[in-house]
Amino acid sequence: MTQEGGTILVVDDEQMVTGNLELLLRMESTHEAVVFNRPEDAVAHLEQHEVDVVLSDFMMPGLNGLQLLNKAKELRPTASRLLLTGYADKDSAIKAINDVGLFYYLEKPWDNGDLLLILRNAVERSRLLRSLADRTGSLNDMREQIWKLLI
Amino acid sequence: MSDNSIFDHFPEEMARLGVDLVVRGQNRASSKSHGDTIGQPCYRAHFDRDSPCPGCSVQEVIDFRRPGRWHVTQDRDGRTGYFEITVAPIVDDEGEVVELVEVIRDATIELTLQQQLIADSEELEADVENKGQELADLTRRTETLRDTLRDLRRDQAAMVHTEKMASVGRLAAGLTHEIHTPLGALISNLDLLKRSIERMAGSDDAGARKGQQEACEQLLDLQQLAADRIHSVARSLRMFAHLDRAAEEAYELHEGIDAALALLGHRTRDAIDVVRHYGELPPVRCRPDAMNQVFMTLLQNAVDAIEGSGRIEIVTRRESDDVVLEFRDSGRGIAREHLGQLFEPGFTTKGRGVGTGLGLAIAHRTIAAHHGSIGVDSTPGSGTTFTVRLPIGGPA
Repeated sequence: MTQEGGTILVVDDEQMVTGNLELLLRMESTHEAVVFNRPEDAVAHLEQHEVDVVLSDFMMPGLNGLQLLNKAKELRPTASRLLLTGYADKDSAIKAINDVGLFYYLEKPWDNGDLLLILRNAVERSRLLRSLADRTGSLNDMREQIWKLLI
Repeated sequence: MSDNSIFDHFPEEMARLGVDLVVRGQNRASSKSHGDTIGQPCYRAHFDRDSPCPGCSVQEVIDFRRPGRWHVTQDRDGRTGYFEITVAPIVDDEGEVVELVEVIRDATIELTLQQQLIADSEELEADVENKGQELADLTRRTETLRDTLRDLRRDQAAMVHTEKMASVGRLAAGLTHEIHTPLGALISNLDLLKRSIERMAGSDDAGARKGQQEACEQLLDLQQLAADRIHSVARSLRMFAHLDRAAEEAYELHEGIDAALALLGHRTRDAIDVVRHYGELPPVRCRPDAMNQVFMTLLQNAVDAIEGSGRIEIVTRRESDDVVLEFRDSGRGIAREHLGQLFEPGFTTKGRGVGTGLGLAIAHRTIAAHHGSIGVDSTPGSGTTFTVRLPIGGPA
């Protein structure tokens, strides 16, 4: 699939994880990685910038993964939301999928090949949603113009 | 008889009777008791009766010409008297019984004693029999108790085992998280390193090779970070489980509290502020593995009590020959009516399948075995404090 890379927001309180994911995306994909170790900083970034994917850890000080992804859903509804967690707790997984509307739930340790594939799909989905929104928008514009012409 | 008899000095009453039972003579003792009785039938003379006494066997003495002995009862001075009557025949040359000699002896005391003895010994026998039965009962009950105790011990051991397994389960859940994060980075880094090396091998472009090399160096730094983390988790676990130490020793309690906190890191990191106010504590003689389990139970309860965000404070200090450890949480607190049952085995507010209800019971037992004490103070809605006091010298 010929596709330009997307923007991936990576949030994990562990530098060893964000460092790794940053290198992974730089070396093995055309995506651009924006990484944060503090969830609050990630929220501040989302307030200013559009992203294609939000990939978040679950257990973090300050704001947990679910709260962060909920915030992302509110700020950037077209961005695909992924949870990457080392805490294999079924209840929190189900809650995440149901409450936040997850695109994917991943457990640590992960497979790089799988993660890259999931990220590519996540970027594609996010772009499709945005272009759908754009087209709906332009369709509405056209409809308005037609109305104006008619009246 | 009294005028010419050698029997006058005999202390018992004696009389000479005809075969018609009429008194013909009496000794001095008889005269003293009954007055002059000559000419009276013996039953009137001695027992104040109008007919022969019941049980009188004088006819047999006469018929068989040999002495006889029997007893006669008579109420005297309001109590029953027993009299031993001995009658001997006096036989003439032709073999005819011509007279009888009667000796009356008061056997009241003797017989009463004898009867008392019989009654006593019967009672004693009955007693012995009862006691025997009681003993058998007691033995049976002791055996039943012993069986019950053995069952209880087995149940208790099973319960302790259940809690151990449950805490191992909780520990495993914690460790899974603590290890999976660095492990995730480690595995991913390895994969990237492999790809990078392959790419370098297949490339002639010096610039590209340089870029790959730089990336590899960064990956190796991350690798170091991840490996160190796994090492530190393993160290915490070893310290917590006390795998490499003696069963009982002088132990730095802070070490154990820190190990328990490290293993709970995945649960406190999110929204719980952990504050340590450690005082100067000497090493405390104890079983470190058991003590760490107490710390884990108290800290785990503290974490469970906090909904959303909160604070756990650990305050330690020395008070003369004791150390005092306080575990305070800002959680939901414990209802007053539950405080009394808190240390009872099986009591839990966490719901089925969450808590075993044994954590605090075992903690209580452990602290008691170390001759220490554990107490709780709680305000519903604002938090709970568990206070542990331990003698520095240990249980010895």
